[in-house]
Amino acid sequence: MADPANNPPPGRTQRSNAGRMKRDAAFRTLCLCATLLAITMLIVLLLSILTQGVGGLSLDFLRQGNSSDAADAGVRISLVGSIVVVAICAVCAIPLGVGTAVLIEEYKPRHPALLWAHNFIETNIRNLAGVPSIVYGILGASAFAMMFGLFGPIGQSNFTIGQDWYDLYVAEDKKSYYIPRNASLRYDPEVVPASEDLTYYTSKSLDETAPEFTWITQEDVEPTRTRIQEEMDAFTKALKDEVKKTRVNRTPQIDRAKAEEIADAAIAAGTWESDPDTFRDELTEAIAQIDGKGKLKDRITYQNRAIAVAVTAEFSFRVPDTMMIGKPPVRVDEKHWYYLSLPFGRGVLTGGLTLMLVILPIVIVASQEALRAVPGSYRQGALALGATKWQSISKTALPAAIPGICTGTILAISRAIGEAAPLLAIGGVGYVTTTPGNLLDRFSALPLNIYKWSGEPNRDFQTVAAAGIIVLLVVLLSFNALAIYIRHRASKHQ
Amino acid sequence: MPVLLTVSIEMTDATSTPAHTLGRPRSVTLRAVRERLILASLICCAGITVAITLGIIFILARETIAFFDPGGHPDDQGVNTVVKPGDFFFGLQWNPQMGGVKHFGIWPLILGTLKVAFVAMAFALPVGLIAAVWLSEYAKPRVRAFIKPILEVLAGVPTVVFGFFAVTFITPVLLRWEWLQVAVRDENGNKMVDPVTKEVITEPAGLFGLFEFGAFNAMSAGLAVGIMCLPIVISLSEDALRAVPQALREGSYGLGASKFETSTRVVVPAALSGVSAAFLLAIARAVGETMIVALAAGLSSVKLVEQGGAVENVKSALSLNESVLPMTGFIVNVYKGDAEHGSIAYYSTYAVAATLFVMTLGITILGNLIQKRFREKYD
Repeated sequence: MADPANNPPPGRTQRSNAGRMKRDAAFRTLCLCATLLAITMLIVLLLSILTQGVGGLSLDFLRQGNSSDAADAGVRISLVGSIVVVAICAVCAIPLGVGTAVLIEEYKPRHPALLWAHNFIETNIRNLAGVPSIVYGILGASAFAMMFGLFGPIGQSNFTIGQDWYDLYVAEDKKSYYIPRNASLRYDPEVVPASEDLTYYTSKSLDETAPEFTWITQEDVEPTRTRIQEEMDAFTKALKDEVKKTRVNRTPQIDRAKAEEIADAAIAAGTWESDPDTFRDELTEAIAQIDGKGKLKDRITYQNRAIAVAVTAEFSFRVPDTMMIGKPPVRVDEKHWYYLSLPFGRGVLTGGLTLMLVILPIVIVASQEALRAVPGSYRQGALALGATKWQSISKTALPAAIPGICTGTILAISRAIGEAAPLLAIGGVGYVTTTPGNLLDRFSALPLNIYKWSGEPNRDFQTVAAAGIIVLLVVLLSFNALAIYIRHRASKHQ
Repeated sequence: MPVLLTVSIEMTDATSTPAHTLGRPRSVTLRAVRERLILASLICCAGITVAITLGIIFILARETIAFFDPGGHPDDQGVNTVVKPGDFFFGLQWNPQMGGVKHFGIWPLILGTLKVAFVAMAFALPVGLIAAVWLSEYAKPRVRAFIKPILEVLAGVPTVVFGFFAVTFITPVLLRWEWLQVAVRDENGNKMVDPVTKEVITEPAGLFGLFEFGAFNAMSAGLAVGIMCLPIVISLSEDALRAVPQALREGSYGLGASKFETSTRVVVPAALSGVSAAFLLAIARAVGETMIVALAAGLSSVKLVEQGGAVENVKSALSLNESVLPMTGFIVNVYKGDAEHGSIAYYSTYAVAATLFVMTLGITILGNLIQKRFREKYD
C-alpha cells in the first residue's frame, strides 16, 4: 500500500509545496506592489500638479495673454494658438490618414510588384510611428517653414495671396485714411519701399469708418482742378454780375443782406457736387468783404477769395485734401485669413502641417485596425448585390468602421494638442502677444508655453505652468472622454 | 465611291443603333471612371506618407552632407571648423557653441541619451511587466476594466507635463536625501556623540557619491521618462499577456503548477514577442524623448575624456548624478535660441537628428520584426 515511488513522504511534499505556495504568495504581493507603485507614481504626478496649479487658476488666467510678469500671464493666446494649429493639423491629417488606410486595407493588389509596394507602404507607416517628434519638427522646419530655400528667405517672396496693400495717410485732424493700392501694386519689391523707409509698417485692421477713397496723385489732381474751375465759370460770372449791380460810383455797396442775396444767386448759377449750404456762410462773409473796395485790384482780390471759397469747398469734396498733403504715405498691408506666401515661414500653417506629420501614422494605423475589424461578409454582400468596389467600401465597410476611426483620430488629435517638441523646432519659444490672424501668423501653443514657464527661474512661474498644465489636461481629458463615449455608443449599437 | 460611303454609313448605324436602343447604361463607364479616380486619389494619399519618409531621409542626408562640407563652416570670429565624418562618429568631445575650437564628437550625446534611457527602462520595464502580469493574471475583471482606461488616458498625457513633474517634484526629492543618514564614526569605528544633546552625530550617507545629485541630473530626467513610459509598457504588455490562450494556462494548472509558475514559465514566455515589442517601443520613446530632457537634464556640454585617471573618466562618463546632454536635448538647445541658418551648430542638429532617426528606426524595425517573426500562433 505504501509505495514510496508513487507516494513520496508526506512531509517532504508538504514542505516543498509550502515553499511553492510561499513563492506564489510572494510573487502575488510583488505584482500587486508593482501595480500599486505604478499607480501611485501617476497619482503623485497628478496630485503634485493639482496642488501647485490650483492656486493659479482663475477666470483671469483664461482671459490673459502672454506676459513676462507671472501675475499677468494667462493661457488665452496660447490656447487659441493650439486650437488653430490642431484644427489645421486635423483637417489635413484625417482625409490623408483615412484615405491611406482604405487603400492599404481594402485595395490589396495581386500583381507581385504592386503587392511589394503595398507591403512597403504598410511597413513604412508602422516604422514612421516610432520616429521621435523632434525629427518631424526638423522636417517641418526645412520642408514647410523654409521650403528648402527654393523660394528665397522667409517673408521675402514674390508670391502672395490674400494680402492687400494700403497707403496710410494721417490727416491734420489725426484721422487715419487707408487708401487701397492698385491691385497690380501688391507686394512688389520694386514698388514697395524697403522697410527702413517706412515710418510705420505693420499689419493693419481696416478702420471700418474710414470713407472709401481712391488714391489720387498730384498729376491726377490737375485735370480735376481744371474741370472744377470750368464748372465754376457760371458761378464766377453770376458772382461778378451781382457784385457789379451793387456798384455806386464804381464802388460796390454790399451789406450783410445783400451779400447773402449775391451768394444765393451765385450758388444757384453753379453746378455743385458738394453741398453749398455748408460753405454758404463762408461765401457770404467773403462777399461782404468786397464792400467799399474802390480799386479794381482790391475788388478782384476779394472777389477771387470768394470764388476760392466755393472752388475749395467743391474741390475738397471731390478730392479730400488730406490726401494732397505732401507727406509720403505709410505703406501698410492687410492680411486676410487665407494669406499665403512661399515659403510658409514659422506660422500656424507650418505648425499644423508639422503636427500632421506626427499624427498621420497614428491615424492610419487606427483607421486600418477599425477597417480590419469590419467583417468581410459586409463587403462581399455589397459586391454580390452588384455594387462596385468603392460602393461596397463607402456604403458598408467605412460606416461600420467610423466609430473606431473616430476614436483613433481623437486620440491622435489629443496627442497633437500635447506635442511641444516639433513646434519648438519650427518656431522656437519666442513671445507672441496676439492670437493668429492668418495662416502664416506666428503663434504660441499651450505646451510650448508650459515648457517656457517651467524653465523660468522666477518660481512664481511654476504656479503658472502648473495651472497651464491643468488647462491642457482638462482639454485632453474631455477629448478622451469623447473618444470613450463614441466607443461606448458604438459597442452598444452593435 | 458613293456605294462604299453608303455602306460605311450603314455599318456605323448598324453598330451604334443596337447599343443605343438597348440603353446600354452609360453609368457603367462613369462608374468605372469614378472608381479609377477614387483609387488614384487614395494612391495619392498613400504616396504622401511615402513622400514624408523620403522627405525625412532626403533632408537629413542633404544637411548632414552639408555639415561634413570639406570647405568648413566659418563663424563670426572667423574660425573655420571642418568636421570629418570620422571625428563625428568616433569623437569623444562635443563642444559646438563655445568660442574658439569646436568639437563635434557624437559619443557624449549618445551616452547622454543612453544614460537617460537606461534609468527610464531600469524603472519602467520591470515595474511595467510585473504590473502587467498582475493586471492580466491576478486582477479581477472589474478592477482591470477600471485600470485599463485610466492607463490609456495617462499614456496620452503630454511629455512636457512629465518634464514639469521632474523639475518640480523628482529633482527636489532626489536633492533631499538627508533622511538617508549614517552615523559619523571616529578613528576607532565608534559612533560619535554630540556632547550637548547626547545624540549620535550623523551625516548624509555618501554611498560612494551615489546620492550626491546636481541640480540637474540624468537620474531625475530618466525617472520622469520611465514614469512616462510606464502606462505604455503596462498597457501593451498586458495586451500581449491576455492574448495568450486560456488553454495554455489551464494546461499548466492541470500539471499542478502554481499561479507564479504558470505566469513566469508559461504565460510570459508565450507572450514574449508582444512583450518585447512593447519594450522596444518604450525604448524608442525613451531615446526620442525631448521635452522631459529639455527641462530636467540640464543640457550642459560634456566631453568624455577629461584630465585625470581612466577610472575617474569612466566614472564621470557613467555618472547619473550630473547634468547630461542627450541628442534630443542638443537639438532643443540649438532651436530654442533660434539657430542662425547656415551656422555650424545649425547643420550639426541635422547630423544629430540623422543619428537619432537611424537609432529609433532601427529599434522600431527590430520591434516589428520580432512581433512578426516570433509571434506564437495559437489558432
